[in-house]
Amino acid sequence: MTGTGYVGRAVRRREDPRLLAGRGRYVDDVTEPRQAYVAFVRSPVASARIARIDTSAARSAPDVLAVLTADDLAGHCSGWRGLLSWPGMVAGEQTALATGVVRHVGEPVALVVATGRGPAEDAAELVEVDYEERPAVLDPVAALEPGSPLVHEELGTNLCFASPFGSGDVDAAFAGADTVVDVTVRTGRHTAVALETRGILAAFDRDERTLTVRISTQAPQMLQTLYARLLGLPENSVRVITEHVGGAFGMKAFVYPDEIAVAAAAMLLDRPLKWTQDRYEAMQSDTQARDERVTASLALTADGRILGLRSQVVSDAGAWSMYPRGCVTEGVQVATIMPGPYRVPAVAADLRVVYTNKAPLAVYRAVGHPPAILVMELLMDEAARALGLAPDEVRRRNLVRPEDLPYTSATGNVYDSGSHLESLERAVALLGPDGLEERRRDAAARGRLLGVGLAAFVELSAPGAMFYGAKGAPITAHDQVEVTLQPDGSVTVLLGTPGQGQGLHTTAAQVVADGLGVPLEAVRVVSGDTGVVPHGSGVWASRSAVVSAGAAHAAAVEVRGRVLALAGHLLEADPADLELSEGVVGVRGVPGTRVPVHEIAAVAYWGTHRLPPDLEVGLGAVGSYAGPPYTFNNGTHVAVVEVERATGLVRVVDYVVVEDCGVLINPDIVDGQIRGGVAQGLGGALLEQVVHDPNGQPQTSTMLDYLVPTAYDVPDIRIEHIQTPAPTTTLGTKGVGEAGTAGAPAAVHCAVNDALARAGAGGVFRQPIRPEDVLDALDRAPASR
Amino acid sequence: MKPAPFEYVRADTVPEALAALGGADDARVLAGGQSLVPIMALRLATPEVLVDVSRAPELREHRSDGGVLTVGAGVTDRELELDAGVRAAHPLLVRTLSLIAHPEIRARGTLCGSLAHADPAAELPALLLATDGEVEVAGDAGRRRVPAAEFVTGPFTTALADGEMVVAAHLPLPGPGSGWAVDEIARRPGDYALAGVVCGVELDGAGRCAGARVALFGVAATPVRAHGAERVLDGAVPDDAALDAAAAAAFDGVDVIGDEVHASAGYRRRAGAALVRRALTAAVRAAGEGA
Ligand SMILES: Cc1cc2nc3c(=O)[nH]c(=O)nc-3n(C[C@H](O)[C@H](O)[C@H](O)COP(=O)(O)OP(=O)(O)OC[C@H]3O[C@@H](n4cnc5c(N)ncnc54)[C@H](O)[C@@H]3O)c2cc1C
Repeated sequence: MTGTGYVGRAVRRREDPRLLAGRGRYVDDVTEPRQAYVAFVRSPVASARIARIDTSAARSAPDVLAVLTADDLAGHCSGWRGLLSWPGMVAGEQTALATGVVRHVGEPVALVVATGRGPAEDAAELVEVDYEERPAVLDPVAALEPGSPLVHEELGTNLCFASPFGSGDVDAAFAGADTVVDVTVRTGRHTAVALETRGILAAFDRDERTLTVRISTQAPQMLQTLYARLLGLPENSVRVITEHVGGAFGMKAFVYPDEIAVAAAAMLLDRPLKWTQDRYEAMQSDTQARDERVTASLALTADGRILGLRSQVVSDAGAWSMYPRGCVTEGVQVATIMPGPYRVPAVAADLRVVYTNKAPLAVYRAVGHPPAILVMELLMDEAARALGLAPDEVRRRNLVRPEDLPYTSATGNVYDSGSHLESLERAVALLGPDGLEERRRDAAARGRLLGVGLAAFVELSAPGAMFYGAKGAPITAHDQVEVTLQPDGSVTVLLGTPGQGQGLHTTAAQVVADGLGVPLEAVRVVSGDTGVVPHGSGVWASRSAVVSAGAAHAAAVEVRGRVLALAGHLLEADPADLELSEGVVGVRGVPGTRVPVHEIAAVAYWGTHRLPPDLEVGLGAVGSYAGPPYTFNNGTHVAVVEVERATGLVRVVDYVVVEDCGVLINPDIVDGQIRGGVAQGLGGALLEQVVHDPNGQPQTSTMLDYLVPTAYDVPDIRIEHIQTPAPTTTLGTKGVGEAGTAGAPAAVHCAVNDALARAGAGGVFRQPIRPEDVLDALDRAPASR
Repeated sequence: MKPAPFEYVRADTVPEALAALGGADDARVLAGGQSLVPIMALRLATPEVLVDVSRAPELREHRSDGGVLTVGAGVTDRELELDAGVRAAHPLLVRTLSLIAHPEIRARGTLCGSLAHADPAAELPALLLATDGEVEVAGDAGRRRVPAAEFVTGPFTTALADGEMVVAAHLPLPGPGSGWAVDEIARRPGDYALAGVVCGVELDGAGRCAGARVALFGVAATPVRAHGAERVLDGAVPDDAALDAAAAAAFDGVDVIGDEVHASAGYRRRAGAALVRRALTAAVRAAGEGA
């Protein structure tokens, strides 16, 4: 590392003062002159043919400017299919407003534009739609039976994608096993519940023929490309702006039909249009996730060594494969991440992704990892019980050891570095195993069962083009960052990938300050406007600390080289003898020669007559990131829970995280990511689930019914870091933004099952674990209570 | 979501409020708005006129008098909870209030509004039922008092007639010699209860139960008295065996409801019985200490 060493320091997040004081600028905070408001008419049923839409009453309602249906948008916004080139994958054609058929409750059917949101909603109630209801497809397993109703008639099947994954002789592994354990696990359909609901403000300049879209998204450049394509505009005429984004978690990484419908309508009506999503719309139309049914078995030797892993995964894709990431990533990750940090010589996974009449399933923080890690860790605990080994011991015997690295999993993932075994040992030590008996007794005296759960995991982060780009979507990893040294010595950093609350503006400033050799305060970071920033593919898959940091570093180093070349000329020194640190250039070893960087920068801008003609004077440079196809962070979580015998309520009372994401740019920011991630994972384990009634009506469309963890539910989280630098990334960083969410559902779940096992009860194998699941398990226990 | 258009009337007196309520087909009282406004935003309620009574001076008062706490319809939960007099006179009420949502919501929500709203999972209607309180109702025909047991007639429905409003609630203060407890099961603190109980036990000089009151909430279409439990305890020495038997009988005759999202009827019955056991133990202990 060069320079003054901001990397590694817990400098304060520069994002916070503004956000904490309520001065963030989210989409709904911005108003354009002549702006009108949109409200949607959405399908009230899960599956139906649209027989008739009558908009006449709505059109003549007060303050209404227009009412649009699929027919009105047909010539103005192309349809799309959320297809990636996975062999055999199929997807139906989707349009901005439902064309002829509705496939889930909440699907947009008509769009009402009025001078205010209230009148738009009043008029939306006047749009008459005749639905010819059809039986809804709700169970993804039944959906594969012959004769099942079809979500997409045109596809002739509900099966979106099926594939085996894995390698090695699994049959031999099971034939030669001393012990086989198996589990059947069901994880709960989640949704992201972003604090800022989705929203868009679209304005079309009919003279310039440019479209400006303010939108709450993770991937502005991707939307620029796709909006241009679908709306028939050149890419240089579409500008996407994201200022602050109030949470996304993967859910805002798509072309949403309602959003692009607003953009198309703004062009058609020649008026800036705003739509701000309501919470109930979010609960019905945001992407959902984690709807997995997994049956898995593990073959082991008598001394607890894993021989092989088999799994069947059925992924409930909902009604649409969202564009452009598609709907199979979660299922693929469940199948391929499952062996995790363990040496599993043979894996056979069988994945089926199935369409149903629910909101679309897509990526969500730690995509697929929570179910994959959950299944594997439940298997490890079952194996420990079957073999009479302690839970940490069976893990210890199978974790990847330092001498195994680099290690290629049977599903083809390469772990180039890490601390798989060490993280377990540290986590166990932090838990303090000696105090556990006393904690157990104390809990028992209060009518509670104490349980401890371990989750050792790896997490795939910062993926390159192979995930999506190579399969046809405009999503890659070659992000860019532009660094410019201004005449006064201040530095402007334009990030291709937007900072959206994760602290990227802070960490990018740290990396640039070090790479360039200027004080941190001299660096200002700008992002989120495709009219201004260089290329980037957005905030997703824990990539920014690797990809953006790498690009920022490259740009900073390039500018530093140019500054030193100029300084060499001005100081009549060999640039190789110069150093630049904290904004001061000096000749190495000659204390008297100190020139503030702004004096050199000023020459590059306004004093070029002092420079020879062949010297590069531009002090702005674009850096690109080119790195490995992905990085794997690793770690171990330990959850301690108390299960109340009388009520089945579970409280997480202690939580330990040992995390290894390589070099830490800013430890506090990493801790924040982990804490938030653990909270989300805890929600998945204990609270969150989208529930449908037998007709496909969501029963959880308000936050009274869809339960997210609150501050009461999340314990203090003790975090320790191991820093095993990534051998292949610029700064040795690995992604970490999702790691908390990856491990927590398994750790919490295993802790509950440990508590139950100590009461002689079998475990629970569904998430969320509801109080009644716990009581049912206790009821079935043969031991007396 | 924006609510459907409505007219807003701020009433500064009860007669003004009654006039406004009588003047429209679909007029609703607005108190703290913590239940009404969300359901209006979802357009599940679309009143034509909202009559805001939350600032009428005569409804903003509460007082203790002759063993009864009278709470006006404009008094918020938070005001009661923070009032030194109320804290001293009716600790059970204060404890009950603390189980309702969070301080922000209690800062606007009113006790009378909760009674009028009649959510089956709400705490306060059960408290009123357990303690034999009364609801004071005003209408064109004057005022009347409705006993708790007759006030809530179904989920979200009450004995209020069209054009009537609640002006106050009368809550008898727990007497000496009796011990009370309130407890509930909620997935997250502050949530509506999956099962809840308010109970009181009075002990005679011989340590026998001279009267037990057990009211359940969150388990049926309305708050209900657990007569089964009360009968077991009446006249009994409230030892472990008696409390076990009382808890086991708590749901006798109760038509328990369940749902997919929050909890099944079976869960509510089973965990509810354990809850009753725990609350009765606390009530008996409190009665013993008070005696
Ligand atoms: C997040 C959240 C969590 C909550 N959790 C709980 C909880 O755990 N337990 C619980 O009990 N409640 C809970 N509540 C509801 C809260 O307690 C409400 O405040 C209360 O139920 C209604 O009181 P209000 O003053 O807000 O009434 P409003 O919302 O103003 O009115 C509610 C209904 O009562 C009617 N009404 C109100 N006052 C009168 C009157 N004087 N005469 C006639 N009709 C009247 C209104 O017309 C309306 O129909 C929660 C609310 C929120 C937002």
